[in-house]
Amino acid sequence: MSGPGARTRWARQVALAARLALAGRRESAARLAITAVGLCLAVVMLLFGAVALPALHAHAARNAWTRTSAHNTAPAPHPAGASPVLWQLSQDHFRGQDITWVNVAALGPRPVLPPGLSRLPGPGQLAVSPALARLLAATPADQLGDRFGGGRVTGTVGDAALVSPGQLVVFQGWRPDQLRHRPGTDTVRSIETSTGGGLAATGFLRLMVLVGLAGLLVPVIVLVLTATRLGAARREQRLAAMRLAGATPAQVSGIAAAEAVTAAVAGTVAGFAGFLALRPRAAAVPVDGSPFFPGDLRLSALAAVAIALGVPALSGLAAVAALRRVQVSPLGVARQAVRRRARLRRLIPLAAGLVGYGLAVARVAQTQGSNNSPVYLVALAFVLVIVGLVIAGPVLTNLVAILIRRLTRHTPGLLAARHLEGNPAAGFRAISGLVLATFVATVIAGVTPATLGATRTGYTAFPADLVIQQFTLPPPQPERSPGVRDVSPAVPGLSPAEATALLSRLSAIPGVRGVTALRQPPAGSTRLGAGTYTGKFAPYPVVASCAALAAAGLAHCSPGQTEAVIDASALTSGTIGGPHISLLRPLPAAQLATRPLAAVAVVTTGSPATVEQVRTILDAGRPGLLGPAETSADINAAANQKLAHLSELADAALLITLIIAGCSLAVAVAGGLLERRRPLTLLRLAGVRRSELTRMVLAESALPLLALAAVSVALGLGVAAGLLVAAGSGSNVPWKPPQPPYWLSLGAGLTLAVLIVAATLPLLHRLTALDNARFE
Amino acid sequence: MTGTVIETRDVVLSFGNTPALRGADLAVRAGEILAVMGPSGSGKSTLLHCLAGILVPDPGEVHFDGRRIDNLGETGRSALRRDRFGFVFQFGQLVPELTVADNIALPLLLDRVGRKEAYRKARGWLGRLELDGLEQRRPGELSGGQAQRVAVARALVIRPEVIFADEPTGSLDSLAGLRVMQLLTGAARSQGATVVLVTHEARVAAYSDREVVVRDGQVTSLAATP
Repeated sequence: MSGPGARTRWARQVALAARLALAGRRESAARLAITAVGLCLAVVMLLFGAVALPALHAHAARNAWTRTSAHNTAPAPHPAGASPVLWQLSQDHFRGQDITWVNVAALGPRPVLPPGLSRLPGPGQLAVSPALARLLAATPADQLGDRFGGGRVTGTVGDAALVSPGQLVVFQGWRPDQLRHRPGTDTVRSIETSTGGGLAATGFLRLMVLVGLAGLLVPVIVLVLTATRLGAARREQRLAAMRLAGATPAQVSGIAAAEAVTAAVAGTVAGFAGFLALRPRAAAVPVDGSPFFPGDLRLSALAAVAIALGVPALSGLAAVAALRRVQVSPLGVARQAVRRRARLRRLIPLAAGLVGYGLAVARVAQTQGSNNSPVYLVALAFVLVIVGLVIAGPVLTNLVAILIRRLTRHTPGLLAARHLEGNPAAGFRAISGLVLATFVATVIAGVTPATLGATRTGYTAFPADLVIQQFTLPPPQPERSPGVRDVSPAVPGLSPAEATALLSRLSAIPGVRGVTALRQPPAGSTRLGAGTYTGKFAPYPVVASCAALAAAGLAHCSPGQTEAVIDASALTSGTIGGPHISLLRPLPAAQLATRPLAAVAVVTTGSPATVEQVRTILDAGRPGLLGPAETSADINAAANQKLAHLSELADAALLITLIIAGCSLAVAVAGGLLERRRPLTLLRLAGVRRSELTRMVLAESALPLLALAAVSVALGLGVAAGLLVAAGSGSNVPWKPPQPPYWLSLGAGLTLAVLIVAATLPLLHRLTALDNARFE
Repeated sequence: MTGTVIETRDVVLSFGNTPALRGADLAVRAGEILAVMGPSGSGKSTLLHCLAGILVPDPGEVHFDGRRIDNLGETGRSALRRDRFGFVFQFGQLVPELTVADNIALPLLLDRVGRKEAYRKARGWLGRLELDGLEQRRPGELSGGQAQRVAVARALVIRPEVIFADEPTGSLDSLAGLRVMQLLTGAARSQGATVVLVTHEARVAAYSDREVVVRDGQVTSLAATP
């Protein structure tokens, strides 16, 4: 075609295609609306998927400077002549929030600067993040501000140094002589930019995000396909009539594509609008434990164009591909080809997907911790398993139908079985959203409890109102063999005089019920028992009176025992037990009081104000500026924060998935009843009772759903186990079965599905009422 | 009447393992109205579909206007249906979502005729086929006879050379059916169109110039309608 005449004819054809696509009033409008809604949801998820991984990477990149040391992996470029800096990174807590605390001392006039700072704070000065500045202004000094030695806030930490808008960060300035000899202080000449460190967790998180998105997207796709199939019989009749009137295959394809593209364009536009509207809220979701800056959820131009053009294009192509039967003959449904049977070979893609998944898991487990660990292979294989499940669905549905037919002795079961056997693809299509949602939910449920309970165990032994602070470090050369344990800590702990002053100040805080001093034992006074020590640090004994230990809930002595030794290296890792360490000789209280203070455990009423006052005194008083004073809540949060948030996110995603899948089921069942109005009415006219039709409709959906849900659960548990293997030793995650809430949710979800099917029964009764037995 | 306009030569067609036509030979003269009769399942509708280019025979040939059409591609056969053939079937030929005017104009619109011209021609048939006042209704809002008259109008709007009618009165009462046949044959004769009519009703076959009988997939007898 060429020239203005050809263009005019082409424009007429496009206009005709659009007009014919939108003819049909209410039915077309309903179908287009549902399809557009489904595509809108799909586009929203695709867009968030496109920004999710870059956003997670942005988080990691923003946090890279906290890994600064004397030997940076990827040092940031710095101005010529920049001076080195004494740098000591610490952590603290305040009412459940983490504080990143960096002690710095410039060693020259132009020190290297971390991101977010235009100048390094000098001695007695502080640079704080905006959120911390607000917190300092709103909190009594004895609960927060006094920790920083009375330093004056002279600068603000910019967004470049913050992972999220609400992050609490402080740079405290010191004189070099004050900071130089403190443990953990490095002389740094550059700032780290590598995101390395904890890659196993980041890779696992990326994997879970990809798995979650894939799991969310599939039910949306099912909804779109189900909506597309609405009125399929009438659409095929319409297109067949057009073929009879002389429409070419290309014209019919154009009409189908126009209908699909119309819905897709509407859905895509709505999807982009939804993404932009939801992005600020989405940024507040702490997927990896921290919210995002909205700017980190930046959509690349390439992704935007690909989605904006790709979704409508794929919709059009899918619509054209679905027209094969009508393309064959203008006689349309009157001469349709015999439907292909659901052959067992449709199970091959699922089997191949599972094999591929196993291989990918093994590969990722082998390369765990490496920057090049191919976690995307596992995500891709996971998608293949889902696709395989979709392809195998009709076969499995057919098998269920055959089983029903062989086992049933009643008319409804027989009718249901024959209907499913006649078109198992349609039978599976109705329930596919829920089957896939069950699969994804089971995968998530199979992963979450194991990872949540992974890193710190036994912490329930610590009372919730206890604040613990250590003043020493474990021995630099850990010794794990049994024998007399002579401790030579890297930091000697507080002197008796310092300890006395500190203990007195702590005891004076309102709300403090007791203070337990844990002292460094004299040389040669303790013995490490035989056993296997698998903790991160070697056993490290500290001694306290039995009365004080019991008051703090840290240990219970034998009758007659007056003092006891416990393993301090496990003190803040959540265990009281551990290796058996024994005292070789009694230590009188008077002698104990002369020993350095290795750690202190403060029993409080649990009041947040009291806990923070205790923490402030401990932070201000610790000379070594070692690990923060922690409560059990702090330790649990540190261990599980990211994964707890992920679990919450998974629950929300699961709820959305179930809603979408439920909509698919309702649309499919209702649409199916409308299409089968004539044969169902004829059944009524032939004498089938209304109750029998009801049981037939319920059986057609409920029985395959329950059977395939069981298959999904089994597959999901297997895939979850694989994900944990892929996470590997870096995440330390043994497999655990899903918790009771999952099983309750599963039962509730399946029950709700049956109720959704039951909700269409009034439509069935109305359509098949004998008064309505007219088909013209 | 002039020479043969459309014919089949030794056409064989099976649906799966079921033979529908076993060497059917039929020649239709230009301008004649031919009734194809036979018992149910004899292959008469299949023969009509082969003549119309809807079905392609396994072996055998179909010729129209001196040209073989069974070896045309789908686009070529679609063009014949759009430009030179008209169809009046028992069911399923009208687009339920389109109005009467839309349905009648459809072949012209598909042939890329301008919209104004297409609807002008379509409206021209409304009066001739007693469809005045119905142009904005949809097929579901019409009686059976009205819907068939719309189908006749659509078949005739392109001034076809051949009209294929498969049981056009099968779903109508006798009065409505006879009226449709009167209008169809009258309009066809006025245009000089050839009509191939499949029916099992003698009253309908009485409108034809000639009858053939299809039995067991073969055209077995030819008789001129008295």
